[in-house]
Amino acid sequence: MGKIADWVEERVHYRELVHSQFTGYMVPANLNVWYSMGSVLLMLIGIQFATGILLLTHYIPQTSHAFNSVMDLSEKIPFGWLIRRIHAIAANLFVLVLMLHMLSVLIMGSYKKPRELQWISGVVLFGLGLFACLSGYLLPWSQLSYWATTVATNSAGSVPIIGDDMVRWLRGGDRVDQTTLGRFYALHVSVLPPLFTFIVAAHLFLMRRVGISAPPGIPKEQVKKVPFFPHFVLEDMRASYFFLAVLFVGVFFVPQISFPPDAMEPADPLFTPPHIKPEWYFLANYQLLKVVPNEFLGIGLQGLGGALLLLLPFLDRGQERRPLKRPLFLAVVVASLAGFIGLTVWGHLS
Amino acid sequence: MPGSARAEGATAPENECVRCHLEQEEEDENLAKPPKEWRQSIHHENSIMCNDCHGGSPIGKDEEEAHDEEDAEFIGAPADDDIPGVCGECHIAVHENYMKSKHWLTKKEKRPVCTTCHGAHLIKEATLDLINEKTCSECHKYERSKRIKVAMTATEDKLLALENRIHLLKSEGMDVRSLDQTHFAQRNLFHRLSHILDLDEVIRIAETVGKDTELLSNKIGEQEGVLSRRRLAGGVLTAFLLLGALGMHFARKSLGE
Ligand code: HEC
Ligand code: HEC
Ligand code: HEC
Ligand code: HEC
Ligand code: HEC
Ligand code: HEM
Repeated sequence: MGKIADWVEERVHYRELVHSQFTGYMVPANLNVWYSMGSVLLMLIGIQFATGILLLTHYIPQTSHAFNSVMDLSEKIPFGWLIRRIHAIAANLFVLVLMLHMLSVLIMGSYKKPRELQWISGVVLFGLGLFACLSGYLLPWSQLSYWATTVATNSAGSVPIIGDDMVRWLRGGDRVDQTTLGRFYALHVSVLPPLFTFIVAAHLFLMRRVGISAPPGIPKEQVKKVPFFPHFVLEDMRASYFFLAVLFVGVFFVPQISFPPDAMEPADPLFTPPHIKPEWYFLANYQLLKVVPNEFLGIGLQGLGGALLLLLPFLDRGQERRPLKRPLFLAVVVASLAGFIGLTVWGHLS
Repeated sequence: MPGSARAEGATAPENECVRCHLEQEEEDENLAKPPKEWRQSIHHENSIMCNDCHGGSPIGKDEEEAHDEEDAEFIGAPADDDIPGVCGECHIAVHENYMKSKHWLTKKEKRPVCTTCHGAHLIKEATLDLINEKTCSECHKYERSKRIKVAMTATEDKLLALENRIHLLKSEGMDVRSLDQTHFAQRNLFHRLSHILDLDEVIRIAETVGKDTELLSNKIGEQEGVLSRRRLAGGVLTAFLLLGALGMHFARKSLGE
């Protein structure tokens, strides 16, 4: 063992790398659990890639075969059901953890100078994450996936002037059909994964260059440091194990999250199932569009929200990061969160 | 509206017939009653609209357009004799059996038609409760009807129980396509009986279907076994993962700062 290690060392000089990147890389000792969300997300992306590739070995991107291909996959291939469920439920968990990650960054003010670029790359990743879910959701071509996609793409129709064109552009036609499936498939398996890889790499690169922020509260000079490995890696693994447990509770005990009865029926464009709604992470937007009397206003509010989020580091330029010292900002965040959750619950119940 | 893309979507089915007929409430209650009842029916649930039975144009805004007999083939309220034909457009097998039954082959004035037993607008999922003393003693003695009901009940109950078990499996995310198919075939074979009205046939088929349900029941049992084994495995796995998280927690604590 030692000999092999030496042989490799002579040729690669990895020890120095290991030292600079892991054992000698010092991070603040008081990093809290929220700082582990990033590595949970990395783990989840890894899971999506691995299970996605396995799904890809049987999936057929044609409206006439798609549904049976995923059903047969779960019926006939050993552990196919498990792979399919993990991919679907982990996608939900991925969005949830993305939200937690973003929220903690907001509340701790870590998007502030000099981390503006990291924030922006994060907002882009969030958008990509939602888009990956939207595109993947259609692929099984079930009643649920067909109609939820119809409803979700319909929302784009509220955009002034170009709305109808946007709907058509998203679907590749007037309605969701083979063209839509084809392009969502291409996006989902060959465009989004490399984009993810690239932007996640940029996100991490920026984090390493600027250094991770310390939680707000203690002045920079007084913050104690610990090595990234093993100290912080253990904390990351603790969080990862926890979220894996959450994932498997979903997979084994509440698969209905992703596979309610409508997900077990093939798509039928002529028959609208009752009570069809988009996925939970789109429900707030969907409900907002429904309740705001003027649809331009509804979509305008959402556009504004998105733009504010994207440009936040340039709008909020104060140095103060402690949430309680930024009462106005905190109030806005809490109110928006309450609004989001309220609309989601409302959308779910109505 | 430009953009037919937006027009479709997931709304409860409604159309001009429904709208206008509901508006007639004050003029004539009988015109508003059909849409009210229909909204609670299995047909509404399946988007079967007024014009599917009556003809007419569902987008016609005024009576003339909506009740157009020429282009839109509006037929008004069908006469009793025409009703089996109207329903038979979609319920082909039922129609076929009904046309061979004594209920159709009897004198015209005495015939019960589809709506006599099912109603016209408030149509619900069919069950054996449709055979009851009130309906079936209107024109003849209840005795024979009752024997048919008794002969069918046991098997009907079995089929219902199996349906519930399949539904439960499905709601747990299991693939029940083949179970569903088998059940559907058995149910259809069996339900045919309610329109044939032949007691011997009822007894014979109830017996065969009864046996088939045993086989199906075994297959469902296998799936239920798979489900509970998976749950057990999932529980063990989750417990290990939580232990892992705890382990990491203490390992980190032991390193200190
Ligand atoms: C603009 C209002 C309006 C619309 C739209 C409308 N109806 Fe009517 N309908 C009436 C009125 C009023 C009557 C009663 C007077 C009559 O018989 O013409 C009636 C009567 C009927 C009758 C009973 C006729 C009979 O022979 O007793 C049927 C059946 C009927 N409508 C079905 C439909 C269907 C199906 C549609 C849609 C394709 C429709 N209606 C659309 C107003 C409307
Ligand atoms: C499944 C077929 C079916 C559907 C769907 C249906 N009807 Fe009817 N309707 C009938 C039949 C059959 C009759 C014949 C009269 C009877 O037996 O009650 C009838 C009768 C009527 C009558 C005359 C009632 C009377 O008391 O004179 C009206 C009005 C009517 N329907 C309107 C409607 C409207 C409006 C809708 C849509 C909301 C509708 N129907 C949907 C089958 C249907
Ligand atoms: C345009 C097609 C169509 C017409 C016409 C139609 N139905 Fe239906 N009916 C359906 C569909 C679709 C369903 C729901 C699916 C199913 O269960 O078969 C249904 C369901 C039913 C059911 C419940 C079946 C069950 O599974 O328990 C009954 C009873 C029924 N219809 C009776 C009638 C009667 C009586 C008429 C005529 C007055 C009629 N239908 C006319 C399409 C139609
Ligand atoms: C004498 C009463 C009677 C008449 C007349 C009648 N039915 Fe039925 N129908 C029943 C009963 C009872 C059942 C329920 C059988 C069961 O639950 O096993 C039934 C069941 C059905 C079903 C469900 C069958 C299935 O396979 O799920 C349909 C659809 C239906 N009837 C349509 C019709 C149509 C269409 C007509 C006219 C052609 C008609 N019925 C005439 C009594 C009647
Ligand atoms: C509108 C009147 C009417 C109603 C309601 C009616 N029937 Fe009948 N039924 C008839 C007539 C008429 C005959 C034929 C009589 C004959 O040939 O002896 C008949 C015959 C039958 C027969 C065949 C009897 C034999 O000797 O083979 C059966 C079984 C039957 N009906 C069952 C039912 C059931 C079950 C119901 C209730 C769901 C029902 N009927 C409701 C009119 C009706
Ligand atoms: C962040 C990354 C990803 C997310 C959020 C995501 C999300 C989803 C979702 C929500 C579904 C629907 C699941 C279902 O209902 O079955 C799905 C299906 C699918 N995904 Fe992904 N996915 C991701 C990455 C990948 C990758 C990397 C691949 C392969 C290269 C992939 C391949 C597939 C395939 C083939 C399906 C259809 C199979 C099926 O539906 O069972 N996915 N994805």
